This record gives sequence, C-alpha cells and structure tokens, in this order.
Amino acid sequence: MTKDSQPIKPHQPEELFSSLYGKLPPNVFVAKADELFAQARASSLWPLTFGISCCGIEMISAYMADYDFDRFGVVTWPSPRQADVLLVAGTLVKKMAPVVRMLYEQMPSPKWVIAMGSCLITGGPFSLSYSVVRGLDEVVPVDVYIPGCPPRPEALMEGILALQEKIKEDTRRARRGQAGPALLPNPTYSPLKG
Amino acid sequence: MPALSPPPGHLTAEALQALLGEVLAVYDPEFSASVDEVVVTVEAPRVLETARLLHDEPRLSFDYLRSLSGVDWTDRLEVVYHLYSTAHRHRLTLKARTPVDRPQVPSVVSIWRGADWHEREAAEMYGLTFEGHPNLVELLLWEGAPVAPQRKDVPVLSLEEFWKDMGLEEEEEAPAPEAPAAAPRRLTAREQKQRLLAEGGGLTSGPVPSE
Amino acid sequence: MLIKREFETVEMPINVGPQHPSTHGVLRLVMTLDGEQIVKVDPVIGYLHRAVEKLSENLRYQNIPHLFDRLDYVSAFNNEWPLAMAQERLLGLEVPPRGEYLRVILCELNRIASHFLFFGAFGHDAGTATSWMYGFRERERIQRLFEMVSGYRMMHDFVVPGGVREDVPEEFVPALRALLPVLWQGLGDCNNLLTENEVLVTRTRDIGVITGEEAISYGLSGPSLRASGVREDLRLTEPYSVYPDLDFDVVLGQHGDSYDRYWVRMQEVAQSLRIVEQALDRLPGGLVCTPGLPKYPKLLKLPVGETYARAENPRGEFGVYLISTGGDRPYRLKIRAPSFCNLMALPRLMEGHYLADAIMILGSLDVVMGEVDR
Repeated sequence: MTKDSQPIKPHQPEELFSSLYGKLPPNVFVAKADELFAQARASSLWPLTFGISCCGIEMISAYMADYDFDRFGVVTWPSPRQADVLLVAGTLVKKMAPVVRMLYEQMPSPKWVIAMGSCLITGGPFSLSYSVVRGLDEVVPVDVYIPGCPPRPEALMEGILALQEKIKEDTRRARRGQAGPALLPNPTYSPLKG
Repeated sequence: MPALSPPPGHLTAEALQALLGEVLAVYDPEFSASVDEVVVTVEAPRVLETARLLHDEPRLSFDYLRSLSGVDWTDRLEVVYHLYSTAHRHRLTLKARTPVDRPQVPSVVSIWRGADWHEREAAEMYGLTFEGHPNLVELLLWEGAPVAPQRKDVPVLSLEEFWKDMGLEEEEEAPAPEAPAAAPRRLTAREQKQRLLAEGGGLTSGPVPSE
Repeated sequence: MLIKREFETVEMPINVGPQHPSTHGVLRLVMTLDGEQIVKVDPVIGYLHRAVEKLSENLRYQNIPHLFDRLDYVSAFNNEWPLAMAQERLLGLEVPPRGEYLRVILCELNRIASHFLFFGAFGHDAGTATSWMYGFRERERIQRLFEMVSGYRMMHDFVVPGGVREDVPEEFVPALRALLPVLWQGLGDCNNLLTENEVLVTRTRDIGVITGEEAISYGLSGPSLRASGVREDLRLTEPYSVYPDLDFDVVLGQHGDSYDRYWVRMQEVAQSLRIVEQALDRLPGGLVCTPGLPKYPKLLKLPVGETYARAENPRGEFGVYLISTGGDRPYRLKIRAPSFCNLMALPRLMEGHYLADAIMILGSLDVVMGEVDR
C-alpha cells in the first residue's frame, strides 16, 4: 500500500509483511501457499506398493530399519487411489505393461513416477528379450530414473530426494504457467475405454 | 572325471541300464548316456506307456518328475523328461522324439501331476501339442506374443538392432553449418549488467560495486 | 422373523491381481469363491517372463551368471552354483577344496538370508509389520558380508566353473565368526516373535495340508516337501561338493500344513548356521579356482554333451539342464525352478479353504516370481 503515488516496485517478502513483523507472536510464520503445498507434497510421498522383481527387494530394504524411508515421510501404500508416487521397481514385461498403465491412471493427480533400476530405463540386462518393454517411459511418463542393477537403498533415497526437489520446482513452474504432467487435471478414466 | 557314481547300495548305471532293457524290451528303446545319467529315447507316440511302466514297475518306481523340457534340434523336436525314484534313489533321462511337422506328444499328466505347467510351457514355447492335457492354455506368454519363440528359427534381437531401436547408433559427423553473418551475439552476464548500469537502471540504488 | 439357514449362493470370480501387497511378486490369482470358500483357483503367471532361457542361447558362458542371479533374486549365490556345476561336469573339472568350502559358506549364508526374508514376508501375511524388521535386520548383516566378498549386496556373479571368482578378503573370516553369534541371537528373536505365537499357529495349523505322496507327484521340493515328512534333501540324497563331510540334520515336518512349512524353514536356519560354523573351522588354504581356465575376454568353450545339474536351493531343487554342441554358447539351457514346481500345487492346496487362509498358504510356499516366470 503506498501513501503517495510512487511507481510500484517488486516487493521482497519481508517488505510485504513488514507491517506485520513485530506484531505477530514469534511462533507464527507466513509463507506463500504454493510453496507450502509443495513442501507438504514432497514431505509425505506415499508410493504405491509395486515391487516387481529384484529391485523390489532393495526397495524393501530401503523401507526397513537400516535405511528407513519413514523418516522422509515415505510410507508404502497398497491402494492406487491413495498413493502419490508410482515407484516401479523391477523389469517391465509386455504382459505387465497394461497393468502399470491402468494403475497409473487410477492414481489421482498430482502424481509422479519413479523408475528404479536399469530394466526400467532401457530394458537393462534383458533388453534383447522378446518379452521385455525397453523402459518404463514407453508406458507412463517418468519423473525420476534411478540407475543400478539393483540400485542400493541409498540410491533410491537419493532418487526420492531428487523427486522432492522436482516437486518444488514443478510447483514454481506451475505458478508461471508451465505445468508438467504431474499437475495436470485428472484424466477421466473409464474402465470401458480400457 | 568319471561319471557320477551313485551312493553305495544303489544301482550302478550299467545295472540300471540292464534292468531298463529288460523292463522296456517291448518298446525297443534306444540307450545312450549323458555325462551322469542313463538316457532312454523313444518315439513320441510310445512315451505314455513307457512312462507308465517306469512309474509302476516296483524295481524302478520313478515317482518323481524333476523336469520336462522341450528341445529344438531343427530336424526334430524332443521332449526330455528327467526322472527320479525316491524309493530307490536312481535317476533317468527319458526322451521322446517327434518330427517337426507333426509335433504331438502324449501328455504324462495322468502319471505325474507335476508335469502340468511344464507341458504348458513347452507347448507354447515350441509349438508342441500334448494330447490328453486337461488345460493346454498359455502360461507365460501373452496375447500378441511371438509364436513358439524358443524355436531355433526365431532369432534373438542383436545388439545392433537394439541400438538402432533405441536411437543410440552413432551417426556420421555432418559438416558444421556456417554461422549466419548478421546473427546478434548474446551478451554475457557481465556485459548485460554493464549496459544496464550505463542506461541508468538497476535494482538497487546506491554505489555500484567496482569490478 | 426367522432367517433361513440355507440360502442360495452364487459363485463369484474375484481377481487377486498382479499388483497386490501379498502376492509375493507379480502373481495373479483368479479365484472362484462361494461366499468365503474358495472353489477354484487359477494362477496366472508370466508377468515377469524375461525369456532368460532364450537369451542364454545367445550369451557366452561367462555372461550367463549375470542373468541367473536375477532368477531367484532373493538368493543369488544358490542360482549360480548349479550352472557352474553343469559346466564343470562337461569339462571334467575338479574344484579345489577351498573353492568348495567357500561355495558352501556363501550358499548357506544366502540360505539363511533367504529364510529370514521368508520370515518377514510370512509374518506380514499373518498381519504383523514387525516381522519384516526382524528378518531384514539379520539379512542386512549378511548382505554387508556379501558386499565384502563380491562387491554386491545382491547379484554377485561370483560362483564360476572351477570354484569362485576370487578369494575372500582377510577381514571376511573374522567378520563372519563375529557375526555368527549375532545371527543365532537374531534367530532366537524371530522364533520368540512368531514360532509359538498363538495367532500364527491358529492361522496356519492344518491349513493347506498336502500328503507326502501327493507332494511327490506334484514335484514339490525343498522345505515345502520336507514339511510333509518326505526325507528328500539333495545335500543328503545326492551329495555334492563337501556336504558329506559336514554334519547337519535334515528337518522334517509331520503334518504337511502351512505351519510345518514355516517351522521347517526356521529350523533349517539353525542347521545352516551349524554348517557355516563347521565349514569355517575346516576352511583350508590354497587355490579357490581350478587353474588354467580361460579368463574373459578369452572364451570358455565346452565340449559336446548334456547334463542335468541340481542343487538344494532355499526353495527346493534348482536344476540346470545344459545341452552343449561345442562352442562358447549353450545350445539349450533349461532352468528347473523350484518355485515354478511348488506353485503348481497351489490350486490343490487352496481348494476348500477360506479366502483369509489363501494368502497364508501362498506365503508358506515361499515362491519367488523371478524364477517362476524366468
């Protein structure tokens, strides 16, 4: 609010709320709503329980006491309707691909996909096989790729942290009008359409 | 290294072969040997009776089917049964031979229940038909899978084709295009800032820090 | 108002789909239910079919263990051993004693690790979340030792024809000796949690019973077979490597139900710990691999022949049927996977039981879909 007719300058957050500083008790914080939502989304990612093969065992190790995903807010959840992240771990086979697509479409937005393991990047050691899909991005859009065969639990944790950064970056881009696939409105899923 | 000798008290390979020759004489089988087992080869139509005899004869009593595999020898198809007797602790390899243009083998599910899925898998991988199998549907393959993929005439993808599929092949170096003459050059950050300051704008008021 | 006791029911098919927290991997069960009772079960597999057998026909022998590790991905050392045995038989190789003892130590440790994972999964099926933590705490300790040996936590590619790839580092034996009492303690903790637990016993006693003769006819093997009282253990009946020199008991169950399948595995962990202790005491020095074998990039060529080599995996009899027509690639490599054969008995085990028992039966068979689908 300007008292005299001065040109509007871009404000720093401290300037915007400077009238409130000193009047609020010290345990009250102010922040931009988008960043708050981004922080909430990133700190409470619930992946769908989806271990397909060997990478799934390292994923389970990451949930266990030695590496402990729970401290990141990551809790495995069996239902796709209530999951945020599709954490696929293992080789994707052509027979399984429609299942993955269906589960991805059942998840509500915002949703992200992590591809864990070399098999989901290019097909991995089984890339020459007639039955393997060469990468998860042929079926669903992927946000984070974690290489390794299998990647260590620490590598999976780094992938989750990278996804958290990406979520915050996605929120900033959405504010500028450049939404990624994660923040698009939920496509209508009809079981009859397939 | 000699062929694996059985534990003491059990039949040696020669004794087992002699016993088999006596029991299976009516089916006129061929005998051979792999590295460690006696191998009996029969023609496909007789394999059911042969297997039943091997299972029921008390001196043999091959009650455990270890494995059932299809093999493609290009001029013929073979189904290889690895048998084991829990009572006498001896083992046997039984092979059923069938020509490629008539790939039918009687099913042994009625003798060993554990042949069920093995036969389904051999059927879809090699194009074999197991007569008498109660449920010969696809096991591992999906709709739209290649037909009989483990036959020798279905090739495995080669590494070069894989690279081409993924778009990773190395292209030849194309000659670098000439830079257009009047294209404006992008200013570096320092040059941008200097121009900005020279025009009198700026984000802060106050002395410009010297470079 | 009286409600009639008998009312008409309709059979309902339900789908326990390939994505499910309790299907132990990508297994699909198409069940036909009458109320809560299972009338028919049709397992649908193939959701992890990676065509390892077909790929192996195009791979050199030195590259195949890389794929074999990923079959039974819970116990990788045990998969490589029959493959190496098959090649040794065709080549006529003698493995030096240190190589044999190292193989026994590593494979028995992997059996212990695999059974601890089974403990975690089985408890989870029964409804606990703690069992995962207990099982994986021990498994992580063992995996750290494996990392010391081969550099990998899981997929080792370490057992080669002629022995093992390289000698274990000096820290391995003292570290293993220090770990064994910890593993005994961990086994005790796991037993305290579940073995006499009233809930588990009620959920698994007399559930999924199979008699010995039926189990043999279905081709079951491993702890699932021994739980029905059949004394078949490849380390005993067709001894290979140095198992004749080691003293251990073959654990048998009596009832053939799910509880016995769980109990046999827990006792097998104790027997495997005994084997590892004895093997450590007897570990000789010397070479770990037959000398003179070609080192990659020189190729290993096998003579013409065929053989069926088998070993006792944590899940049962893992067989490798190898046909070689000379050259550096196999002509046919058939993998006899124990989980594939054990899973065949699932419809027979599940019929007549309630839906709530179905997952306990599946858990007690301890299947790994990587080797079912190959």
